[in-house]
Amino acid sequence: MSRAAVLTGLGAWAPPTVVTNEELASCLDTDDEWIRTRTGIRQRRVIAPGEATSDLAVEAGRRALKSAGTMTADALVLATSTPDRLCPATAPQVASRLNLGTVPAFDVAAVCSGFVYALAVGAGLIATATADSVLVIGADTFSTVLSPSDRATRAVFGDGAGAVVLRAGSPEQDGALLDLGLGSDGSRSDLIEIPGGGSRQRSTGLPTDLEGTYLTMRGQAVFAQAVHRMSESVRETGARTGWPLETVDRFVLHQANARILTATAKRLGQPVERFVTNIDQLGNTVAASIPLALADGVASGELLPGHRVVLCGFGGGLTWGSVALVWPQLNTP
Amino acid sequence: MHAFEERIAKVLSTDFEITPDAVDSDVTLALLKFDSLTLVELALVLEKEFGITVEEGELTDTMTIGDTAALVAAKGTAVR
Repeated sequence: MSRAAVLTGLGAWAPPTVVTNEELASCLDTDDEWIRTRTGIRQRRVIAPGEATSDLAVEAGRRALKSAGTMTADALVLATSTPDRLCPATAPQVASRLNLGTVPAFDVAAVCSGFVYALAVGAGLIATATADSVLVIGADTFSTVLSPSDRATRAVFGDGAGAVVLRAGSPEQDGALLDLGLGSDGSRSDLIEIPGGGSRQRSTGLPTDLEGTYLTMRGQAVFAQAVHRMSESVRETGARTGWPLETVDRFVLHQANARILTATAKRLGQPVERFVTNIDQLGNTVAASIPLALADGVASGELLPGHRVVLCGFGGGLTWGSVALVWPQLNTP
Repeated sequence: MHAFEERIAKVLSTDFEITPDAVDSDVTLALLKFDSLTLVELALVLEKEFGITVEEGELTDTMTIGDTAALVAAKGTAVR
């Protein structure tokens, strides 16, 4: 029997501070209707001053371990593009704070596709028998990289974390990751970027300009690329898994923008009702968005054991990826 | 009305809630209230409807329905 990575625990955490559209409208040239009609977002969560990505990752990780009925994991993979510091990686601190001991722990940077990429890495660690269990976390705090005056990005992004526990098992088990397909296109790396603060800028010897450390996003092009790449990726994963898309019960896509989700559903010819969404409450939480949507889907009863589920991420890089699984029975905290 | 224009009018009615009466060869997309976001959505819907690829920035709000039909036709789409 071949060895598969099986999802056995799920946890999520969003910081308690809520920023509503009305609050954004009080300091930016925007309003609730402008944001809602363009993004489907009503509010987002943000970290408190002094907090960091690891704080959210630890909370989500703790909940996922509890859900899996364990206190341990053989490895930790953290998907994030907003590490606590540029160096070192954030994952070792998270592992340490979760009392996981000296297990291998590292970050994966694939922006909004980060969680799917981290799942693939976790599944690889299990496939090679490097680990029997892996804690996979997606956590980001994009509120820390947004220009205070940019209504487009401030309306969209929020902070959060989500995590799953993968365990070695068999492909026949519910929760087994059945197909993982990843892709990238670095020729479009300019569509979503934080240009300053990295080696390209620092090697100039010039001081880092604050504006250059903020996220920039070319909205129109990102919209079209997201719909193209996610619909292709979902289609390929469905085909490789042998699941006609009509037989997929739930699609859990990166929560980028409600209209991107609708356009992707339309392109795939599948009813938007089968696409789990929580973007109205949390905005785009980057690497955390898929596990946060899974947690909300379970809590609302939208996502049930036995459901055929396809997860799909798309983000800066550009990067994208999908995974298929039959949703397992979980104890969610 | 050109066959492509009729199909575009149908797409506008189904996906963008624009009544066919408002659609004419000479009407610009701007007049039909298309903005940067809805233009991308229209491009995606046209791609699916006609089996074509619409490049970034190819569809603009200054284009008329006639121009849009010509763009689709230039991509070698066969009339169904």
